[in-house]
Amino acid sequence: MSNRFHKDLAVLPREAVEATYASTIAQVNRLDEERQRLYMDKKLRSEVIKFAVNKIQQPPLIDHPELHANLVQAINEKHEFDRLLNGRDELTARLAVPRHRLVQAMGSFYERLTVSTKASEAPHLAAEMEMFSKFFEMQAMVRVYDGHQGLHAELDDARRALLETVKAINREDRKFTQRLNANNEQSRPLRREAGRLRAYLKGIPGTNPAPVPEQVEEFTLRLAAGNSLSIEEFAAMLEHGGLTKFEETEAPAAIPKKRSTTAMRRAEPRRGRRRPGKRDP
Amino acid sequence: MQTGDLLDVTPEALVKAIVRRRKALASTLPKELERRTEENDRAYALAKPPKGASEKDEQNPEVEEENETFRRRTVSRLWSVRHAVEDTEEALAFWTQMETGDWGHLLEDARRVEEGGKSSYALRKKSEVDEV
Repeated sequence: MSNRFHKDLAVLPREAVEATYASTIAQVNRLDEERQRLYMDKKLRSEVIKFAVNKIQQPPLIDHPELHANLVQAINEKHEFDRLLNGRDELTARLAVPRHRLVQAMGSFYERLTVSTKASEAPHLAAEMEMFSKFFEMQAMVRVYDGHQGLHAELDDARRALLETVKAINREDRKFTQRLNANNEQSRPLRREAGRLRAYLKGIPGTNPAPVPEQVEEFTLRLAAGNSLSIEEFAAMLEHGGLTKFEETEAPAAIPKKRSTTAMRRAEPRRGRRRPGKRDP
Repeated sequence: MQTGDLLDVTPEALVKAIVRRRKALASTLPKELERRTEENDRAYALAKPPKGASEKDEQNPEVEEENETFRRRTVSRLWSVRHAVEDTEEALAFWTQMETGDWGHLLEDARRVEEGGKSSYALRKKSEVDEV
């Protein structure tokens, strides 16, 4: 009944082995749950980063904001950055000319209107009126720019703050990957041990140990967390039956037969026709 | 001129500066007109041979062409000065009237910007886009 793999168990009472088995299974379950949670957190972080860098338009919904303070902060900073960006764009659309160009043109207009020149170089009355009007319009525009002087600085600050937060989330993300690897490392020997204990218990008459929980595949966990998979990963899942629970899709409609064509390419003139020459029979 | 100084310029000050410049220009114009008229008379005299001149006195074609070119140039210069005189008179009358503070219609664009509206450049850009 016992073999060389179960020598250490043979000396223990059955109840003790059963208890060890139960605790091992509990640990495996706990690690699986933790892995699932880690994947979901990773996905949430990835979505927040995508929103922060404008790859998606809507932020993800955060169920427990108290647990993800930095993600909430990133979303708020992105909203603030967008608000400032819109303000700047509105100002640009409203005034249409950059401030430095306005100042330059004002100086030039002022000089042409006030500095004495030769009669041939002096502006005409119509041009003077135009310049007078434009000078004061530009003056008003520069004042508007000056009134929003803080906008650019605020925008820069908001951009910097958002980038810092995104960097921090990215750093955390790397830690998550390490934690996921550690989780896998922990889970593997525990599953092996659980299998060994179960095999031993099955060999004792009158015992019916519960099966070791099925190992949830990495891909399945990632899918459950809402992550995407690459084509290669999908192919691997199909090959190993990972998509068996999916509903069967209807068979695709028959593809209409192609017109049969000769294997050889027929060389024909595109325009006109070849006329029979002297050498033709 | 520094940006701050340009922002401190008032319509009154600018109108006064324009009037001052226009007056300075107007004071130089009569002399200029006189000089150009004299130059033009001289060019006419060169280009047109005096009445009763014999065939012997006829100028060679090259000199004749040169004189004609000079005459045309002086006419153009004379007209420029005459236009400048007219424009200066008109401008002085206009800007002198503006000195009373009647420049409201010239500051419509500035007022629109001050009130939060679009600049004339933005409006022009928009109308160009709409046209396209």
